[in-house]
Amino acid sequence: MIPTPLVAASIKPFVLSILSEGENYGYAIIQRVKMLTGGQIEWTTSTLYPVLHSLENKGLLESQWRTSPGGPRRKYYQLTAKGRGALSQEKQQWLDVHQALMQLWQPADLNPT
Amino acid sequence: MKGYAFNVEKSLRAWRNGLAFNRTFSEDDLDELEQHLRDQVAGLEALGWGPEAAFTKAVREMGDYGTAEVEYRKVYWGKLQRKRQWGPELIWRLAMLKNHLKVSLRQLFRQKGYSFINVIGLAVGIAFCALVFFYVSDELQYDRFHAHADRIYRVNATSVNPEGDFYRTSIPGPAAPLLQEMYPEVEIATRLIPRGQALVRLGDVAYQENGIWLAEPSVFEVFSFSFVSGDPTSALAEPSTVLLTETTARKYFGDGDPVGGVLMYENTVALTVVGVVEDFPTNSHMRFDLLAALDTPGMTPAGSLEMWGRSIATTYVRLRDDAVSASIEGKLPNFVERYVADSLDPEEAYVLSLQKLTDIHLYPHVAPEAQWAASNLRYVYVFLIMGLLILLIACINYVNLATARALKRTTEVGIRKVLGSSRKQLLGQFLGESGLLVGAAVVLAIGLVVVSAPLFQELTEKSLGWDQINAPLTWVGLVGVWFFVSLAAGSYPAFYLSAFRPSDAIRGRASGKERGSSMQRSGLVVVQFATAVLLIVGTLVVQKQLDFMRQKSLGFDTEQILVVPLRDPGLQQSMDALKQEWLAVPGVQGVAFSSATPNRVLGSSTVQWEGAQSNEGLEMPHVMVDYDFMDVFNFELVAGRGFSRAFPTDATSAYVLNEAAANAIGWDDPLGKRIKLWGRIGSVIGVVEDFHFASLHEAIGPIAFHFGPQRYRVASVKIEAERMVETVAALEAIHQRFAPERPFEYAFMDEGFDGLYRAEERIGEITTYLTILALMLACLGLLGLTALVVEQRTKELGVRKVLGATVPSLVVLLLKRFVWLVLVAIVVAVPVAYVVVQQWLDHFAYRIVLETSIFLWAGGAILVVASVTVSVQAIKGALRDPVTSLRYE
Repeated sequence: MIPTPLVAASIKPFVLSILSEGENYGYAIIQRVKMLTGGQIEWTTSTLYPVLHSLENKGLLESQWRTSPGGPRRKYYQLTAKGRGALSQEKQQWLDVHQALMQLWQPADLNPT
Repeated sequence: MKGYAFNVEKSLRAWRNGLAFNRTFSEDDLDELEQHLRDQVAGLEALGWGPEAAFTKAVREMGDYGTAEVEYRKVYWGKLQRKRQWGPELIWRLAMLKNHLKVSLRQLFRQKGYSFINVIGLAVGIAFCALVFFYVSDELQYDRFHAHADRIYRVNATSVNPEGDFYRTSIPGPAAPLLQEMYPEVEIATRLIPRGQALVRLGDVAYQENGIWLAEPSVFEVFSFSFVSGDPTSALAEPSTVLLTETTARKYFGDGDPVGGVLMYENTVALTVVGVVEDFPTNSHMRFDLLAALDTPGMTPAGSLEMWGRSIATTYVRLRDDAVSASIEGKLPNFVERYVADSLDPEEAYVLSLQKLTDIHLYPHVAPEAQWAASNLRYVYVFLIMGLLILLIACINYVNLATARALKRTTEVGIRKVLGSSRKQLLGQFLGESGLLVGAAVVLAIGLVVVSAPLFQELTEKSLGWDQINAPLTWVGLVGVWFFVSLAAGSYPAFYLSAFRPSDAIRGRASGKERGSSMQRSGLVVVQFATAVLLIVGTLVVQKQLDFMRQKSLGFDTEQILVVPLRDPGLQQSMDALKQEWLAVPGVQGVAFSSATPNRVLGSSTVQWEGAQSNEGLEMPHVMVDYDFMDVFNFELVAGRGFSRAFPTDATSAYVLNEAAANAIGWDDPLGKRIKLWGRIGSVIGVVEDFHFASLHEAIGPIAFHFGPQRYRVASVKIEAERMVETVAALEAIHQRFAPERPFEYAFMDEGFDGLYRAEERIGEITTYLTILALMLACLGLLGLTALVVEQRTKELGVRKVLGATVPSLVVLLLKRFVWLVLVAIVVAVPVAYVVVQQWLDHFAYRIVLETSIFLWAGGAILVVASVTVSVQAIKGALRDPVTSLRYE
C-alpha cells in the first residue's frame, strides 16, 4: 500500500516519463502505471485527468484529438520542448533524493528477497 | 427483470447527462471521460465481465462526483486561459450575477416584512450607538481645540483645616507672575477673574450679561483665540478695554464694527471695545461673552489682585514640553511656604495642585478624592457601555434573524449547487446579499443620525453639525460595522448551507444543527428583554427620585415667592423705601431682603465660638438677612426667636443658627452663647430647624443667619396666587422708579431648583429614550423570531387545526414558549437592576426607598408588550387555512 503523498509526488514524473516514450492517452497511461507498479498504484480519473489538463495549461504538454478506428474520438497527449525540460528536472531531483537514500541503505535492502 | 434490457449507449448517455449540467466539465472533458469509460468497459469485457456488470464497475472505478468536481475545478480557470475562452465565461458569470441579484431582490420583496424589520432594527442600533459616540467624544474632547492643550494646567488650591477640606479653583492674584518668574518650567502663567452677572449698556441697549471675565494679554498665549477683528498683540494691554465674542458683538452693534465703541459696565465703568473674537466651541469649560482687561479700575475691589489673602484669580499655566507637572507640583509647597503662609491661619494647611486643562470638564469642583464619584467621566463611561451594548444587541439580532431566514432557502441552494455553483459562489451570493442589506441599514443609520441631530443637541446641549458627523472616525466605524456584520450575517448561512448535499437540500431536510442555533436565538431573546427590564427599572427609579427631590419639603416655603436681584447701587441705598412701597401693593404678602435666597447659599467663612480653642473654628455658609426673612420663607424655629425690631442689638450682634450648626459646635442649649464671625461677636438668639439649602446629594450642614444690610443682594417677595400678573406689573412699575436704568428681572423660587439637578434631569430624559429604544429593538427581534417559528411550524399548525384545535389554543401553544423566555429574562434582570439602582441612589443623602412595585411594574410591562408582539404573529399563523399550510410540501 503506497501512501498518498508518494502517489501524489510521483504522478508528474510518471506522466512525463511515459509521454517521453511517445504520445499517449489517459486510459492507457493508467494501465501502464498499474502494470509498472504491480497494481500498487492505480489512478482514478479524478487523479489523472486534472493533472494532464494542468500540465497542458502550463505548456508542458499539448493535446490532439484523434479519431480512432471504430468510434468516438480520443484525446492524445505529447511532450513539448518545455515538457522535456521539466522531465529532466524531475529526473534530476528524484535521482538526487534516491542516491542520498541509497547511501544510507545497505545493498542488501535493495533486494529484499 | 422483464422489459429491461441493458443498453450501453443509453447508460453512457445517462451517465454523461449527470455531469453535463456542471460547467466545470466541458464537452471535451466529457468526451475524454466517456472514451475512458468505453476503454474501461472494453477492458473488463475482455476479462470476461458481462456488459452491465462491466459498466457498473467501470463507473464506480471512476471515483465519486464530488472529488471529480473539486479536482476539475482546480484546473478550470487555467483551461479557460489557455483556450482564451474567458470571455464567454465572464459573460456567463455576469449573467449569473444578474440572476443572483434578481433572486435576492425578489426574495427581499417577498420577505419584505422580515427584511424591513431586520434592516430597521440594525439601523436604529447603529444610529443610536453613533450618537452615543458623538456624545462621548465631545465630552472627552473638551478644551482640546486649544493649540497647547496638553501643556495647559489650572492651579487649584486645597485648604486643609481641622474642620475639613475646602477646595478652590482660584488662587491669590500675585501667584501667577511669581510662578512664571521663579520656575523656568512654567512658560506662561495667566490670570482670569470671573465677574459674574452685570449690566452692560450701549446707549439704549442694555443686557444683563453672565459671561464677563477679566483677563490679561498673556491669556492669548495660553489659550487659542481666533480674532475676527482687532489686534491680537495689543488686545487687553490697556486698562478699560474689552474684547467681545461675535455673538455679543452682534447683540450690541448689529452688523456694524464694534471696535472703538464704548460699553458701560454697571453704569460705572467705561470699556472700549478693541476687538472681536470667535465664540469658543461648545465643548469648552470656559464660557465667556466679554473679556475685559484685568487691570481695569472699578471692576475688582481695589488692591485685591495684589493680596495674598484673597483667592481671586483663576490661574492657568502653560508648561514647557519636557516639564512634568509632578515635578512642578513638588516645588509648590516651597512656594506656599514662602509667599502664602503668612496669610494663613496657623492651623490651616494650604496645598496648591495642578489640574490638566483637559480634565477640568470631566472632574467637577470638588476635592480630588470625591471627584470620581461626582464626575462627568463616570456618566461618560456609562453611556459608552450602553451604546456598545445596544450596538452589540442590534448586530446579534440582525445576524440571528438573517441566518434564520437564510435557512429557509435550502431548496434554492440545492438547485444552485446542482446547476454548478461552487461553495465559493454560494458564499459570494450570501455575502453579497447580506452586504447589500447591511449597507442599506448603515445608510439608513446615517440618515437617522442627521434627522435626530436637533433632538440630540437639545437633549445634550452639545453641537452636532455635519462637521462633527463627518469625522474620519465615523466613517471608519461605519465601514467596520458594515464589514463585520455582513460577514457574520452572510457567512454563517453560506457555510452551513453549502455543506448540504444537493439532494438533501432540495428535499428540505434540515440537520441537527437547527436545534443548536435555536438555543442561540432563545438566548438572544432573553438578553434583549433582560436589558429592557433593566432600563425600565432604571427609568422608573430616576423619575421617582427626581420627583422626590423636587417635592421634598425643604423646610421652607418656595411657592409663590418671587425673587428679584438687587444689583443696582441706587436700589441698595433706598431699600427700606422700596420695601414699604412694595408692601403697599395689593397681593403682596411679604418682602424680605437677604444676601442670597435659601437655596443659593454660596461661600463660607470660619465661625468661632466662646469656649472654643483659640484656633478652633467651624467653616460654614452664612446668609445676611433682614427682619422679615424668616417670616417670608416660613422657617421653623426650634428655640429662641428670629430677628426683631424690638431688639436693637439684633441688627448688630445677633445670630441665628440651624440645628446642625449647634450640634457641630457641641451645644445643647445655644441660646445666649456667643459666636464670632468675620470679626464680629454676637450672641445666638434663635435656632432654626434644619432645612435643605444645598442639593439633596448632601446631608444638611451648619448655617448661620445674621444682619448685614450692606450685603443685601436679593429681594424675595411673597405674593398671592390670584391676579399674579397685575401684582408683578405693579412691582415692576415701582422698581422702575427706583432704578430706571435697570431691567426688572425676576424668577419664581420654585423654578430655581432645577439647575441643581440638571445632571439628573438629563439622565432621566436620556434613560427614557434609551428604554423606548431598547424595548423597540427587543420587540423587533421577537417579532421576527416569532414569525419565523410560526413559519417553521406551519405544517404542525395545519395538522392540529384539522384535528380540531381551536385558534385560541394554538395561540396559547405558540405563546407558551416565548412567555417562558421572557419570564426567565425578568428573573435574571431584577436582581441586577436592584443592585445597580441602589448604587446610584446611594449618592443621594436623601432618597427614595426602592419598593417592589417598581420591579413589578417593569416586569409586568415587559410581559404585556412581549405577549402582544408574539400574539400578533401567533394569531396570524393560527388563522391560516390548514389547506394552504399542508400544501407546503
